Amino acid sequence: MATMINSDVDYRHLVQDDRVSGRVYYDPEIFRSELERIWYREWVYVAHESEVPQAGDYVTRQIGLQPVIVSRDEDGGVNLMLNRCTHRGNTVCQSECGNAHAFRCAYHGWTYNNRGELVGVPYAAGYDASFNKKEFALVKVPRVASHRGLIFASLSATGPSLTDHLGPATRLIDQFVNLSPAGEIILRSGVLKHSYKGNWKMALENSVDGYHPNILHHAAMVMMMKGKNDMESVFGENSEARTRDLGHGVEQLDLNPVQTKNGGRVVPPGWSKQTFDEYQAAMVKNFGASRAEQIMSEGPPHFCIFPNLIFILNQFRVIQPVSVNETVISYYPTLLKGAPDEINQRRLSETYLIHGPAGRVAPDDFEAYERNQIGFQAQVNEWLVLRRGLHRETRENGTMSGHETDETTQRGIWRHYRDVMTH
Amino acid sequence: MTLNSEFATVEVDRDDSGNGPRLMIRDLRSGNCIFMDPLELASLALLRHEELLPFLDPVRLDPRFRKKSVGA
Repeated sequence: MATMINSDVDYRHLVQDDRVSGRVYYDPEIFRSELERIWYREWVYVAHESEVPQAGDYVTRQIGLQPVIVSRDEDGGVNLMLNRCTHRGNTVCQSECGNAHAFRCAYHGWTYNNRGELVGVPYAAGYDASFNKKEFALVKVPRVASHRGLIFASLSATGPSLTDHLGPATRLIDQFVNLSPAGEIILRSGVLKHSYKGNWKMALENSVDGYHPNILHHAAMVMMMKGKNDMESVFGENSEARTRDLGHGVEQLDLNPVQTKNGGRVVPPGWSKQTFDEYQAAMVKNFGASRAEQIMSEGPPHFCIFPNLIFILNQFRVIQPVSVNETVISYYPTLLKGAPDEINQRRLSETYLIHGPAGRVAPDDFEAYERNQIGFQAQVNEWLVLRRGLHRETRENGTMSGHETDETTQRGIWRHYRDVMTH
Repeated sequence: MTLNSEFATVEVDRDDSGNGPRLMIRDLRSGNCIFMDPLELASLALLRHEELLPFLDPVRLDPRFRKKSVGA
């Protein structure tokens, strides 16, 4: 592992308009700065409200490296607290999910209700009269906000609102969620987790890289071509799809031109006509005929929200950094509330068929990320080239747009990264 | 029926050994056991969870404080 440590990092040199230095992927000092400037200051996606549907439900997550608890209290409120006993710092909650109205630290038994208030201290007589339990509540995450059930949090007490942060992503989240006849998605079907020995930013960049699918995922594409899906028209040189930098670190692989032409893509094709008719009727009932047709023909959007949330096909992908060269990616299948079971079953099976340990796509990506991290050890040439399509990208409706195979999206990520790291 | 979380493991069962039905709750870590009649359970259903919090002190699980189960 390379050890170029320098707290006086020149991000304008390391991140240029058409290239970035490999150092941003392997320097532990830069990783520490990213925790402070990105993960502990920006809005970060944490969980979905449907993961804690009942009073007492909780899930444990991390914001950057900091452990947090997301709990649903008795009054229906969602609470985000640091998972750290205020006594000696132990995590008070170990399970990834469960149901409890109180969390008891296993070390000395300090007990908190699921709003984080300290409600019990064993052998309390050992503390003098100045000891006030109210001062020892679990620390609340300073800012929490949600949109369409997606819970975001910021460890900074000040900064732009979530609405400002999401900006153009709001419309795309709505596009994703509106595929549900009830206007709600449900994340209650488990999660696929993969860890890889590579930097977290590789997964973010790759999520909106329209250049690699027909190359890296060749085997999967051949399989889909046999199923009569013309993947060359989706990801190839003649694709009508676009890469879009929407600003704020929101990057889109805009497949609408292809999906609309192909009649939409709510789920992988193959459901029965009866199921489709049932779904379509539910959509028309909720949205009206013309709006329902538009939603269904557009299908789910393909995009990412800096730094850790990705929407591809029917899943959320969530990036969790572990260290400068280790990352965990979680794939959450999303179900459409109000849709026929067959549609949701296909959405679920798509997740494990494509992203499972022996899936058609995800294992290729993880191999690529790890080869990246190994390749960075060769530092004779430190640069990664991001100039593809720079000469032909255009400004459309105030945002940069490029050919489907161009690196407009990666350049957008790096522009935002540079802004945040030098802010 | 056994209910388990990272904080406790309890066995819950219907008990008909008395003159009327009761709910048996046994804490499998401490061995403590209680039998609750329908009126007690109906009253529990009125509670907010925060009213139960005073009973969550782990010292209550200490053998020195363990009560003898009544009616077992």
